[in-house]
Amino acid sequence: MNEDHVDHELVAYLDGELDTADRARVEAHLAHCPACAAALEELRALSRDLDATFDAAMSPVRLSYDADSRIRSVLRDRLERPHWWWALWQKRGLMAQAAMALLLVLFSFRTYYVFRLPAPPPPQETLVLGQNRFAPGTEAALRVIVRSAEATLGAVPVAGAEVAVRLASRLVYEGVTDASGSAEVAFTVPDDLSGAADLVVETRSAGGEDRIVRPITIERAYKIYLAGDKAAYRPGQRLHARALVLDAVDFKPVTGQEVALTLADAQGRQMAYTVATLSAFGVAAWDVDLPMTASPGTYTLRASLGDTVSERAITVDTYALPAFRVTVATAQTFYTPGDWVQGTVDAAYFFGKPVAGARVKVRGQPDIEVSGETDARGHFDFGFALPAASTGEAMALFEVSVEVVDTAGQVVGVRHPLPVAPQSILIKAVPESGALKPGVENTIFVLTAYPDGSPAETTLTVTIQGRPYSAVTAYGLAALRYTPTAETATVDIVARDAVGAEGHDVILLQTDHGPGTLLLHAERAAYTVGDTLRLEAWLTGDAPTVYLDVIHARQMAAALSAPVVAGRATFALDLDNSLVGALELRAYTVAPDGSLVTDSRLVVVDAPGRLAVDVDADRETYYPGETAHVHLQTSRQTNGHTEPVEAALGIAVVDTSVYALDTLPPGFARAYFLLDPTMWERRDAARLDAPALLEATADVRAAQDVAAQAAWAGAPAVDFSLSATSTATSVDGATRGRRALAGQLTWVLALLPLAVSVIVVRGLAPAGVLRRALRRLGWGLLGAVFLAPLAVAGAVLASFLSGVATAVTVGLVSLILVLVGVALIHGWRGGDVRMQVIAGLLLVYLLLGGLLVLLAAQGHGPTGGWLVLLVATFLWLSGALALLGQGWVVAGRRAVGWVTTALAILLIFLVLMLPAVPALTSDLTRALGNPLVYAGPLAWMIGCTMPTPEVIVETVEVEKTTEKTVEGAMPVETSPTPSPMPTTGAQVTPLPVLAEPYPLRHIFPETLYWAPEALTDADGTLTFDLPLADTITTWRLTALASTRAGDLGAATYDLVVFRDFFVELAVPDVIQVGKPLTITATIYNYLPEAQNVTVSAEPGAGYTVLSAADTRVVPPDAVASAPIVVRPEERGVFTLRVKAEGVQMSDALAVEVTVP
Amino acid sequence: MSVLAVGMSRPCAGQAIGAAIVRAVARWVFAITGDRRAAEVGGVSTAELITRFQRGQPRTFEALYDRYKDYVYRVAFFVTRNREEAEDAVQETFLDVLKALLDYDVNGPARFETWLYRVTLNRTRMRMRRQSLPSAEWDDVEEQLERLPSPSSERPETVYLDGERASTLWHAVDQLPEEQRAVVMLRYQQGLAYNEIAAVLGIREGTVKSRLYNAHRKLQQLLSVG
Repeated sequence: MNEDHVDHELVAYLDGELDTADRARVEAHLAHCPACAAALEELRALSRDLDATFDAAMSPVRLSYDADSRIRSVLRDRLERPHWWWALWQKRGLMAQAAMALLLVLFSFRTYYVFRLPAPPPPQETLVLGQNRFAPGTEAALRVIVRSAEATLGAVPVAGAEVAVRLASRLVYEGVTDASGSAEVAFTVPDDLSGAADLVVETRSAGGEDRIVRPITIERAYKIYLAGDKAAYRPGQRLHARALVLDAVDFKPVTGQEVALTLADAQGRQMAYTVATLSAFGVAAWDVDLPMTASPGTYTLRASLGDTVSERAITVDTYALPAFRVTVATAQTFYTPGDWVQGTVDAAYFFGKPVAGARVKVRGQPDIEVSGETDARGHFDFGFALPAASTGEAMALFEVSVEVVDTAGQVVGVRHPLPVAPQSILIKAVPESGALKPGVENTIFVLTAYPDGSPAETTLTVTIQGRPYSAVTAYGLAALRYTPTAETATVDIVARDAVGAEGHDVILLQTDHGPGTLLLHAERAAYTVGDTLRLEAWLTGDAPTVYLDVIHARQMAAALSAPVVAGRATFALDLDNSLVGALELRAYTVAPDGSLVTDSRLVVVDAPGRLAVDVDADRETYYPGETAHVHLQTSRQTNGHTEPVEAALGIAVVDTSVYALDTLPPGFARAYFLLDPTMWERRDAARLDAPALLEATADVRAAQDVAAQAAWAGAPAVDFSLSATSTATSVDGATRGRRALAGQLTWVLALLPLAVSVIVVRGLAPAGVLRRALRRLGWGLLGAVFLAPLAVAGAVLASFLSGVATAVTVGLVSLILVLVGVALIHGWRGGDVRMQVIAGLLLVYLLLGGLLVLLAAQGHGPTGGWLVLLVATFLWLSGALALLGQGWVVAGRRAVGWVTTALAILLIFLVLMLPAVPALTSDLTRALGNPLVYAGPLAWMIGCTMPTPEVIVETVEVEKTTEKTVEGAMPVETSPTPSPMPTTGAQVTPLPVLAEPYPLRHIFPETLYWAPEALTDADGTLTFDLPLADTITTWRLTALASTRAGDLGAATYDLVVFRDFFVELAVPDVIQVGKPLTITATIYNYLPEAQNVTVSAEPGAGYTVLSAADTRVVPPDAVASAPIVVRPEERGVFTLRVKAEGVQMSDALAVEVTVP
Repeated sequence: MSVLAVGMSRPCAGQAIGAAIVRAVARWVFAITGDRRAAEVGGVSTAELITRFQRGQPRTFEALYDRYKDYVYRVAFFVTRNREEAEDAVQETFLDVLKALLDYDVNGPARFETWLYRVTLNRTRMRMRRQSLPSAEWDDVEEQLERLPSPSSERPETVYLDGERASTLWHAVDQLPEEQRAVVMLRYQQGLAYNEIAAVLGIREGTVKSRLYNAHRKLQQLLSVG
């Protein structure tokens, strides 16, 4: 037997399960091996029998009827019971496609809606106007205007734009614009802010978003009222200064701050300096001793706090005090050339007695001289004729000099200017806005005044550009209404008063030129808290809105706007306590090009309350050296109610012979504080008596109001120190809608590839082909690495052929759609759910992707990370498709598989072509079509430089407009007048301070008492004893009171010191050692009868008495003089004692004589 | 149904056209209703039944059940030798098929039968863990073989097999080890090819070949002894 028997393969041979080679081998063996052939036959028989046996045994075996029924019912039950989910699951392919269809329908609707949204509105423009300075804790305002910046349409206000304002990154305002596009931003400046900060204004509307940042300063603004005891000092005297500092916004005292006080001489050299802390009433005081060597001149006292500086001029001179006061008065306050001047001279001693029997000489250029003697009342009448020749048209002053020599030989000279005008009524015409505004009705103020400046009640005959007017002036003022048409207006005015005096003038008024005209009209110039400020703006042009800014203490306090109706806009502003002081009202319109047409008015708002100061003393007249009991009462008067109030008083008691000036009205300081520097400076222009404007009775006040309107007309407007314009890029509803749509599309397009890949993997995994398909895909990708340069070259080529690219792209899209459509139909016909779903998803992906590409081309595409996500998911989708294709190829469906793979490659070709299509260019197509992305892993490594999507940055052009600091930012508050004013100090001294540093037995101070900060108690009372000095004179007490609330009040009171008999010494200016010095002793006798008086000088150190005792009779009410001759023996100071001994009364005094 | 009855009751009519019409109508009825009898009459393929089931016609599953219930029962009965066990196995098998059929790939390389028998065997073997004695029906099979008629000239295909040999052979098969028995059953009862047997049992084709060889050797031994 052959060794290689095949018996173990015979069964397979019989069953036909051997392959050809084995079969041949077995047959070959069987041919020559009978044993195996026999075994085969045996097996064949067995196999046949087994077949038959199984057939016979099992054919009858069937499931029993009972079991069949049971199983069938179980199956039916199972098939029917979970019907709904079963049905759903059964129809999952259908549902997936329905979902995709729904997705498409939804996006179609969404797209339809988004693209039907109105066209993007023009981009918005934001204007911010205001001041760059804010005071902490105050109410501030800002003007924010939002409008469309479309030049062709004209600027249309944007209503409802959101406005947010941040100050030092704190949100202080949020609101929306009104119909005029303006937001009246009002906010309280945080109290704890100070220094430089950023003001941020953010606006947002359909037209875009703006953000404007401007540096501002948060700082308190102050007003400093600087006063001294006197206006003139001699070297060696002590200067008392008092600074009252109030907040410029709320007029409350500024406390705790340090004020720098300096004194500079005539050459500007700083002589003294101190820093004083402000008290609870905002008062700082400073005393400076002027050196004996101080050179004469005009010195400057300066107080500064922050950037607020207040100055006051002081005269330093070796003056001699006058012996008596001479007053000149004329019958008329003005004259015309050739008139007869009738006048009087009155002379009185400072203690009140008339200067009788004095020789008077009245002189005037060129040759006028009248002389005579005063009568017992110190009175002298004079008269003379003015020269006939007129020097010219303008008014001139004719100076009359008067010299009075009393019986004691004391000389006092005064000069008296007489206004001499070419005509007896002077006429002035002022348009209310400074210049005429064309096209609207202007008010022209006509002022008629006598040459002395007093208002003339006249009847006017006026012709303006040939058109007659007639009017009557009240308080010398009339208001005419005129609408200018020409460049200039000739105003011909004839004014005639009741007594026939006449004036005539022709005034040429200029018309203001500007792009448009705006005239702001205020009813009055002065208001009180509680009033309503009514304003009308008249304008030409077609501006729809007039804006009104209310600027208070350099800070915008309110921003109003009003619509223009029939060329007119009206405003009403209720004045409250926060607006006390000067208000600048600035009305403006904004032209389409952003330029402003402006007009402004100045008004003053007065506090309703008054601080009254009442001064009283125990007697009317005192003897020298006596003590006066002075009582002061401060009370606040509001609407007729009087209540005592605690106040700080600056009290000065000064010799009236020093005070050779008119009494300042009590309201002077108030007016100084309430008016702003511009208003203060312009008060002379229309003879505005500022204190009277605020204080006087109603009718005077009304006159002053007109004067104030005229005075402040055309005052230069404060510039907007904060002004900015910015234009935003437009973000309208349509754009937002498109962006949102693009965002949703991005989401869907990122998710679809994931769904596709899940289905692909699930489909391939059970069939066991996933691994092989993946392997094939990997090889393919690896191959693609080496094809990367080809892809790049292809893309470059495509970019050159942009015209062809469009056609190619259209072709590719068509081809892909056809393939997908075929796959869809194929899937349906073949009942292949998987293919249906994948084809459907691909179709949806293509359609939505196309929509996103279109949106992206309009600039609404995804950016940044979304872009990267889209590119990544697209790659994922291509990979999934290629995988599916290869899977099918592996599973034997070769045609379908390769078509699917080709589809994946076609998709990549399509996106590579997209950037070359001009109409579709966007970041999205550039990123998708970046060849580096598809060049495989290698290119990925090189191409980390790849899709750097250029993020579209919204450019906000912030136009730098004029941003000016307010006039040098250093407001210089000049001292109101070089006149002595009551003042204050930090220390309260219950006892009077005898200020003059002269250690005299008899004391002759010029300033008797100085209390810079004397406080009244809660009842508003202050009582103090005032030891009077030895001077026989009238002391003037001035008191300036201020409260913690910032109310101001002032009062003056005269204290007379007198005795019936006394002597005074007049020491000449020129003193030399060793030379006889004649000192005149003036003897005043007001005793009822004549007195025999002996005047003698007592010998003393430093001098030798040369004259003998002088004895003479001095009649009653007479003044006599006796010379005393001494010889100074050495340089230095000696004290000369002189006695005047009479029978009834005697007097003795000592004076210090300085020998240089 | 009367039309169907007519068509079936006249096999000799040979009217191909009429049969084609009947089949077309039956297929149409099946497509609409999923009726199992229409499926049979219309000669609807198993693949189409499965596809329709997967597409949402649950009734086609009953047609599928009707088509395969006896084959499945025979496999189960052969393995368990117990009627009740086999019936339960059939029920469980079809419930399994019902669950798994949705994921069955009609276009896959495996025949449905292969897959079905694998599921059946898995189910049956799970039941076999509970030992149960052969039921009376199993013994009936052998008795039935013994009653087979003697060879006659009229039935040449059964000429070699008399009742005695059949029952002897059946007895021998019954004595085979379980794994050889299964291979033999799949080979002779279900007529599967080697590769199909390998797929059903989850073994290699070579193993099928060797098991079959061993089974035949064993059978020859048993017969020679017997």
